Amino acid sequence: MLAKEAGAPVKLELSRKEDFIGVHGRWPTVQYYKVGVNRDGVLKAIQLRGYSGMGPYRKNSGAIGGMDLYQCPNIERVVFPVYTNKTVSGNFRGPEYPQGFYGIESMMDDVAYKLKMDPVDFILKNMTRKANDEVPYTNYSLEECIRRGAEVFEWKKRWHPQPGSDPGPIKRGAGVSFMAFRSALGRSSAEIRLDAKGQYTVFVGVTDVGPGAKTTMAMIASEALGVPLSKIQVVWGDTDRCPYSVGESGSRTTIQTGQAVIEAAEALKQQIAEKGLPKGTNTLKGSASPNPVLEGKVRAAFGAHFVEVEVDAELGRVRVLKYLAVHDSGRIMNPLTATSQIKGGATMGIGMALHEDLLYDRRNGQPLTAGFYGARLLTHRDAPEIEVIFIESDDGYGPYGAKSIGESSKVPAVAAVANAVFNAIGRRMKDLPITRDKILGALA
Amino acid sequence: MKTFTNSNARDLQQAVTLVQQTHRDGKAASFVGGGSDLLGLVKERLVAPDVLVNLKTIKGLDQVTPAAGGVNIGGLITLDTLSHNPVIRRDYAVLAEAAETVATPQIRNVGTLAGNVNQRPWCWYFRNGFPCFKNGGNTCFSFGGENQFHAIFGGGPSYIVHPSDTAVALVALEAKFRIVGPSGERLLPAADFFALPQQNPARENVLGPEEILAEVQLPSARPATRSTYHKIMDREAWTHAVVSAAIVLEMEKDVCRSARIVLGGVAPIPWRLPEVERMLAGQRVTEALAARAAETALEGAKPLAKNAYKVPLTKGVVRRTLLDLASRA
Repeated sequence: MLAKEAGAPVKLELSRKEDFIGVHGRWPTVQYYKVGVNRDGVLKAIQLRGYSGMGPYRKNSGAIGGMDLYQCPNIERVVFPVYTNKTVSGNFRGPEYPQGFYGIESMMDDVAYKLKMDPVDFILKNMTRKANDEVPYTNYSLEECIRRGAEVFEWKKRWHPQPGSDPGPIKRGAGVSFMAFRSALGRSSAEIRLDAKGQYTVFVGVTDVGPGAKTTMAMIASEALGVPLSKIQVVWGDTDRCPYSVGESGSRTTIQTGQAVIEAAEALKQQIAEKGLPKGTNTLKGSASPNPVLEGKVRAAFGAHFVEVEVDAELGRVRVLKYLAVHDSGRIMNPLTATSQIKGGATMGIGMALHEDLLYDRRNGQPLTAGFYGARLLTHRDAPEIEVIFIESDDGYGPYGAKSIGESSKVPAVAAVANAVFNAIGRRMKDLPITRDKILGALA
Repeated sequence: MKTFTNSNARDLQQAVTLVQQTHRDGKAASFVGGGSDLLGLVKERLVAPDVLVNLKTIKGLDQVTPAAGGVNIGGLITLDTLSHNPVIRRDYAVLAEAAETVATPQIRNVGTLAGNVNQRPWCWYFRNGFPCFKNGGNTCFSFGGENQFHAIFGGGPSYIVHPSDTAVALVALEAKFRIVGPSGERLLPAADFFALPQQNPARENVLGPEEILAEVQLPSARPATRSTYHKIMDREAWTHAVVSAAIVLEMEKDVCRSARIVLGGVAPIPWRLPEVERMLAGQRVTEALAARAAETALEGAKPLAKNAYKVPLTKGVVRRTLLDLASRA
């Protein structure tokens, strides 16, 4: 409005505090589960009654995900998005899953212990092998992620069959969680130009908000064109020069824009074949806006996280000792940036599990911890070493079989950390973040 | 952010005069050293000085110098320089350790000792501009609100905890503060510098608005004295103490001749534990004694609705730190 009125570009500048208050965060949830299970550990029923705090208006779904990953004949899920006087909630890295998995995986972890089953065995026994237990995946490697992870992590050695049995005072424990996350195909656009000097320029509308999309797009173009990376430059995010993009979100950049880059490269090669290489000031242009669809199948990335923590039972401190993330994100385009994505998501998950909180004064709804100091985000010194293993696959879709990465890496992290804390101290921590005051309160 | 003018001070006397003049003109003035706390307060509109009197331009106030019976530390010394000073590390380890736990390297590079001691509380109600005692109001929102990090000793009517790490160490070292102001100089024991909210809930110490904490004087380190600072943090960097303990022990073989124990993060001032100090004097520091000391340390604690965890936490810190320090070779 202001830009239109003024006839000039307008810059919106927010302080970090305003960013916390005015731009959305993840929706907080309250989740109540009931689970029915046979003595032999076969799931019979899951019931969820959930509430999602959406703030003063509804921006996104407020869904609670996770239970859909279990194979179960009777599932009832009732979730109420609730309007509150707090800041608005919206889609944030793996929108409905990190908090949903924390809920359902805490519950299933409890169920497994009750049955005296290893949680890994319980998951393997009950997880769905099809999307929503119906539609086949384009490929399926979740079981392999879990088995491989358990082996490399040395799960049997680190996990205590009796939670809280480590004598302490510094008690160790191990936890696990898993995930499947959408890797949907969809519309995207790209354009590649070739000039007479042999320079290729890729135009994509998508912004690179840090995950390295610029490099990845150049790598995909290099592969598709069969020319060295040094001959390719990428122009991104410029709405004046680049084709339309919905933006970098939904873990869609590599799989959707990447596909458009491949098809733009094919179109350019066609041009070269027809017209020959450009001379003088001439350029050749190939562009594509593919909109591939999947019929009768679901594409998903898979993963399993294994975490060992130690909890100082006297001082209430939790430290992550070992963290292993095993992921099938299809074909990995750029191992360095892909690994960083997983590490970043896992670190964010640890923060959500153990640190970050936006507290309000209950009497007046004013936020108290807006900002990086108050919200207690992890620092570099808090982030543990995170080991990443990729199980590469090619399901025949997406650019060379690439699937989603960015959001999926946070999805199982919170649950895995929380379950490790339970294994260490034998107390189920039902409120995030699992901070010192809550741990000492539970152990008192 | 409100604009202000900057006046560079040549010396302490001139700095005081500049502030006095500004006040006489009916304007607000603040002294500024590193500015890491003050500028944040200005940006959050919690203070609105018209004039900042810059103390950084005063020469010679950033040194550790030997003095009769100890060392003098200029108030402008940065926390980073202080924590690396060899004399401080050797004879007053508790202060070096406290200084190196403060915030982040960036803040330690500009933040000064005097500024760290004088920083305002980090209570989220105060920092978010609630009209509390510290912001000129007449209530403490933490009481009946979110008080996870608030006082379990000495609270009321304000329940803030004193935010400074070095202040805890300085009280344990029985430092003296040299204060320069309009009526000249005064020398105060560190313990008398800090003031409970009963005395004045708006402030944390007795420093007047036209006074400067110019220098910290440490008494000579007694032989066979060892000291340490243990800080419980919410994350590995950039937090104030949830709870901390500064302990100074004078040891003769494995017997404790004398002890000074001061807690941080539990009270509106550095919280000294004279009873615990008395029970340690002349004793071997055994597991049992350390456990009893920890129990005694927390006698009389009055936790609020959400900070009862500080009681077992502080016990653990006192017990472990005491044992660890006493058993060091």
